[in-house]
Amino acid sequence: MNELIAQLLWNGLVAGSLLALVSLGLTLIYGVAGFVQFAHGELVALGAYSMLVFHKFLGFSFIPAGMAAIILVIIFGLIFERFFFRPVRDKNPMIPLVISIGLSIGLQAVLQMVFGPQIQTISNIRFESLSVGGLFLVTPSQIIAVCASFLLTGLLIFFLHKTRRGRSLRAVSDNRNLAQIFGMNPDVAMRWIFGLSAGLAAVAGIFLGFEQNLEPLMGVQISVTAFAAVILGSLGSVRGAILGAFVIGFSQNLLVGLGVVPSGFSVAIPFVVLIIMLLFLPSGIFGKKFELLRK
Amino acid sequence: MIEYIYSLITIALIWTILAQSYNLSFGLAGLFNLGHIIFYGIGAYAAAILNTRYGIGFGPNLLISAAIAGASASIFGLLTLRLRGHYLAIATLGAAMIAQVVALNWMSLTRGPLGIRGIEEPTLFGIPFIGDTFTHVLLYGAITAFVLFLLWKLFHSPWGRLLRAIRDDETAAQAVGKNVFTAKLWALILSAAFAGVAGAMYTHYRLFLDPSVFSLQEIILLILLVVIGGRGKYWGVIAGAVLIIVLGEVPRFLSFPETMLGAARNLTYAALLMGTMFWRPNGIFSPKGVTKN
Amino acid sequence: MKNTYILLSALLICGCATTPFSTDISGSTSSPVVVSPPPIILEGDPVKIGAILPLSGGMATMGIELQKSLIAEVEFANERGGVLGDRPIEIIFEDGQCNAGIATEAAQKLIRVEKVSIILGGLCSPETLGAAPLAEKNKVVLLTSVSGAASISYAGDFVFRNAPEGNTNGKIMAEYADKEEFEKVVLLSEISDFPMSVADAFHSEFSGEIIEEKFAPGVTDFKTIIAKVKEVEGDALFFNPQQNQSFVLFMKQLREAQWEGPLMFNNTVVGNPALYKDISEFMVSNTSVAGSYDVVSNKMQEDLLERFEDRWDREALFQHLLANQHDSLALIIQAIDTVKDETDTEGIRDYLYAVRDFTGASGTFSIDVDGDAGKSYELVRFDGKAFAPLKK
Repeated sequence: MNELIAQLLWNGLVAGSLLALVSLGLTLIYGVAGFVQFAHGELVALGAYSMLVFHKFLGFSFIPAGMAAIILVIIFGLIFERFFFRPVRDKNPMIPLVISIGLSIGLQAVLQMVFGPQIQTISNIRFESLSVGGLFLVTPSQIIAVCASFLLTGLLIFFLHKTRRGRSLRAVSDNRNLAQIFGMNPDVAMRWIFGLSAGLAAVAGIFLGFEQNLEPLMGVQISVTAFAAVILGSLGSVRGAILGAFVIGFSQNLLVGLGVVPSGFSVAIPFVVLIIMLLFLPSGIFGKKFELLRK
Repeated sequence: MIEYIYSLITIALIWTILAQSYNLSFGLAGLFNLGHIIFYGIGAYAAAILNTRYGIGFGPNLLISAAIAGASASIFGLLTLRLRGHYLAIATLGAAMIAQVVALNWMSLTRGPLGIRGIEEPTLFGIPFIGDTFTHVLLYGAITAFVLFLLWKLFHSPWGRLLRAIRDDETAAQAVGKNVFTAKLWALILSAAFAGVAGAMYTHYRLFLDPSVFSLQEIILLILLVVIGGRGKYWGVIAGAVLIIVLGEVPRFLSFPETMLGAARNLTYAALLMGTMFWRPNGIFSPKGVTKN
Repeated sequence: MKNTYILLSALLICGCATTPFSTDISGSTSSPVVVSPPPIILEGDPVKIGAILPLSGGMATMGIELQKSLIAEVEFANERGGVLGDRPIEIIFEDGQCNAGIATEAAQKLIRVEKVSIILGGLCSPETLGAAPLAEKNKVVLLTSVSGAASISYAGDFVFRNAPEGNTNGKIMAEYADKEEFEKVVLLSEISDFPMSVADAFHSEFSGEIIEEKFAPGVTDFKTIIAKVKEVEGDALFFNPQQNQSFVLFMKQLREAQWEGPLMFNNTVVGNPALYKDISEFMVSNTSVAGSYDVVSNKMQEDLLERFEDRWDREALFQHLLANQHDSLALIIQAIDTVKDETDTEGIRDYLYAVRDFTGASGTFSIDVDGDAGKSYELVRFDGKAFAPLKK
């Protein structure tokens, strides 16, 4: 029993870490741009597929392939920001939301047409898993994933709080008009946020690719789970996104692993949790007081 | 070839009802419900189960499925209508995911991934209607016309105007004493009932049903149909629906392989949706104007 | 405007591009559906026969293999005079994608548009069960050479099965488990028709304790299920999938989880060496036993395989399945020739029910009152390269 629980806790940690990378990006975008970016999950998928192309088809080894993939996805993120979201920035936030839905489906379709609908694996290398204290098993890629996630999250928080650029991003996020008066450029803020969140998404995508194998619709699952995490922690809140991600990561693994919930229902768990929570706390755990202004 | 045209028309009819039903809740009442497909799916499954297990025929099935879908919407509405904007969107999306998972796992009811087979084709007064024939298309056409007529009455009634007012400025509507919550709830229930009818029609046409009917990807087509026709615009959405369904078949004639057809179609829809949002947010039949809300 | 251009060109580029990065799990890509014209010119109108096989998706490798074999056999039959004296056979393939809904539409197309009176297929049980109601209603003969789900026996008067039943697969695995004195077996089944038949039979025949888990088709992450499975500490693990794709994903994660213990499989995983290439040591060290068609080698089979090699320049996979399909085609041709009218499906049906001691590439068999050929399974064990019969 101890082994099972230890294993489930580790699996939850891995899932939560990767989900946190995605949720952070999503909540930052909401904070600065005011809408939920539905195509964010596709950036994760693009990260995974880029890794596939660089490593499996072009033969780069892991690290160069990973770097290339991250850079490529950041470029995609910036392109999307420039062509799909900036033109509608000052309109009713439902418009960029709907556009992001369109972008999401469009990207899924493109992935399906280019790579085919079947499941693919990034690498045929066998990972030997290591036993930790005889209690549970970890794979090297999982360890790297968790470390990378913690590192990147820490760096991001440092960036947002201790650097000038980061602070100005937070200012724009809090109140765009006021920030503009103080000379901060919202365009620059958007670019930074989209670039950063795309990079985080790419990292998550690469590790997810190793964990779970790739298919064109893989972005949907992660998107939708990330939405739940972000709303759980309140839209726009960085701490909330991280907390939400781990709550969901752990609860999914523990509830299913301990047999409380049948494994088939695993994907629904984040939503049941979310809907229950929204009934009592309609703006999330760290509900921002200014939520009403951001309808 | 003619069978192909009939099948296209049949699908267009079903989707026109579905689009107009969504137009009622999303377009007219402004409820950003991403889970509308749930009611379509519930209607479809209700019809399938009632037909294969209890032998209930096409006619009664349409009515019962509508009722079941509407009833589920009342619960759905009570849970979610307090939310606004992005929160509503995601909660409803979550509900759609839950519906899909339930359909996939509740083996005793839906048979999960095995699906429900051997659904009967519509039989009215002892006359069977075989799919993709002229009489079948006539039957579905008649039903669609009737349903659209009911929807027309709703759109152009005082209640319809109330919904529009709520969509444009909810606070103002509340200030003049209108019961906003009840209005929104009924909008949801009725739109769900009509979606349920579309679902039942689909079941009796395709003769097989599995949880893929709850597919989240269909939501883009629904949003597209309402947005392109103009939210709340009755005739715009009908015209849009016909246009889009026909356009969706274009990839087939560009000789896309069968397996990529779905993806190519989705890409077309995505492009159209984004294009519409950029240049004609009020629907392609309205000149570019100021978006009200 | 710029956005439109970008989107439209994306559409066109993706349309025109073939799919260079599209390879299924075992490395093959889709193949053309071309039947070479017969060398002798047969005068008569072609006799159209439909075929429903998974030509894309998780079972495409198997489906395409059967398609290729069928093409080779039809060409061979046409070389020797076709059917009804001077009429060539034309086979029309539809992709069933191992899915009942898609197979229903495929059957609709074949029956209504192509107007076939006979359909060979499906391969996966969902395909056969999806097509069956339509075939039955339209009096079209449906003959599957692979599908194992129990319910196919009762799917209709016009539905025939020239293959062993999944029940039997479950039964011999249960016998194996009893013989090995396993007391607790973990049974992990894909939620689909064939694995469910196998599971039902295993439940009734196995005398020990069964811990059961199920998973939906298309699951990509088995880690939590595997953690639970290990916790249970069963004597053996019986993995019961429908699609080859599930097998590959599952085994990869099972190995990473350092599973130790005997493994059991149903017959869907037998016959394709590409499936085992990354996990062969793992499978050998954890005695891997499966059920497979009991097919005795004979001259007709050898000829069949040779024709495949000549036509497609490589050795055939899933050889046990090809033998069944060959015999199905032979039976159909004989039926048509006897009844003298390919549209007399009632006559063809009666002929098929009357088949007794037919000798073909798959051995000698008769067709029973349910339309089944009553074939059997045998146990095979993985020897590092492939599954081979267990020496008793």
